[in-house]
Amino acid sequence: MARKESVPKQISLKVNGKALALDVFPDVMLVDVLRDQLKLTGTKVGCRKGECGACTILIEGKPVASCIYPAVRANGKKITTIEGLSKKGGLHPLQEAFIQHGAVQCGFCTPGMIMASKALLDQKTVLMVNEIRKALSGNLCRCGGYQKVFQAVRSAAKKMRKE
Amino acid sequence: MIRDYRLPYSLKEALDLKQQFEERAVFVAGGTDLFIQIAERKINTEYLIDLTSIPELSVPERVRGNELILGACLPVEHISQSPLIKKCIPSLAMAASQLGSPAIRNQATIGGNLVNASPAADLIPPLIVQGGRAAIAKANSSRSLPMEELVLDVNKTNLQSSEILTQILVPVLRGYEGTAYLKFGLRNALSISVASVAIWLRRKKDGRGIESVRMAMGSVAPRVIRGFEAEAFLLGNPFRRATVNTAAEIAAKECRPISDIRASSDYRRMIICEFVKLGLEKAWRESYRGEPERWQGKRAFLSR
Repeated sequence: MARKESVPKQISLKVNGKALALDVFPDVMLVDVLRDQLKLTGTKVGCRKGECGACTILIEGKPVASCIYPAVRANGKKITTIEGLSKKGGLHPLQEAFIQHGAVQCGFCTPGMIMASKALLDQKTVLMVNEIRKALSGNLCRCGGYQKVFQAVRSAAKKMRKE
Repeated sequence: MIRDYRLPYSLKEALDLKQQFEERAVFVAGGTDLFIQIAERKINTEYLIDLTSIPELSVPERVRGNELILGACLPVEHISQSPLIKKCIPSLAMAASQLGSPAIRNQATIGGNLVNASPAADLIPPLIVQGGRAAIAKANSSRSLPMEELVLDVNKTNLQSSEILTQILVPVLRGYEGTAYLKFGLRNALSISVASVAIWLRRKKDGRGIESVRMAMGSVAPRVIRGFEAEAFLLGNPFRRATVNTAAEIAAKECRPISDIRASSDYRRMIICEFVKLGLEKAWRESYRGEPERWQGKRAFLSR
């Protein structure tokens, strides 16, 4: 591939609270910058079409499919990945709840599920199951783990309500 | 191969870039359809001109006169949540809430959905039935056209390659008017529409029927089509259940669905028939919103 013919762009952004300056190629999607350049491999690549949710990250707190989000557009944005959830080595209530409720089987959909859930719980913690289903409607799980995921989110919401 | 990705901060800058690169550049808004088409090599381009940092294109919805004006680069999620849009174009907010998934809705734009011009585009039917128009700009001129004239064929619009869709203008929903939007997909989300119906009607003030009606059907033709024969039938007959049922059958025959991996053409016709019935009922009821409750109970439901 004639890489030398395309112009690398410099972007400045915040990833998990850390300010970074990076060179990215114009045809590269954010998921590849996160995984290959920043070595944050918690975010997964599933379909590369925005249709499975495995690549879900938060941009300014909102869930985005990083596999179809151009890296250049991330300039000036605040990104949160699954790696940004644990504070001081401890687990986020969502991560704990997923483990406690058996919501992790093969684990491939899990980072995306957790990021989508976090976007919801950061907005509200008093929820009906339907709201959880809708918030996670873009996250597919081939292991069939949905029920336990919804229970885990409900439980995490309850815990976060008390804090 | 993509040589460069530019993010202009003004409409003028975007149009200048297009003049500079001509056919070697393509405009992109959210990109949730375009980037996939590029990856699949359905679209080949050297330069991308990103429209999402241009303030003129992301102007939040506002009412001017009797129209609601929307910036073409407003994200679909914003459209689905906006209280003003829910009030003035409720069927658009409904359609927006059923597009893709939360992540896709945060990135996709209303303008992109229109210009991509999929036969299954979620946002086109509601805009057609409520009489929406598209405002379009190019280097030294601008124009507007009715939403119905925007899409010509599968993934093909009236836009020249140097033009940008800037705004969408829609007459606001008024008293005695009601709308409906129904989408059938194979899942509750991340589902390309198999068949969809949008309806707008204006009830006669004495409640003895409808004065005006528009019906748009999606995913049953190369582009969203109106059900003109069904509409004519509704206007020419008293508005009751039997009329609605017949109109639904007419609409099902009027549409031109194909059979594909998602559904057969027969199944699509069946869906259209049911959706037209449900939609007319719902739009009729909605036309009674804000009316005294005793009317809502009696007159807002179809008589046999």
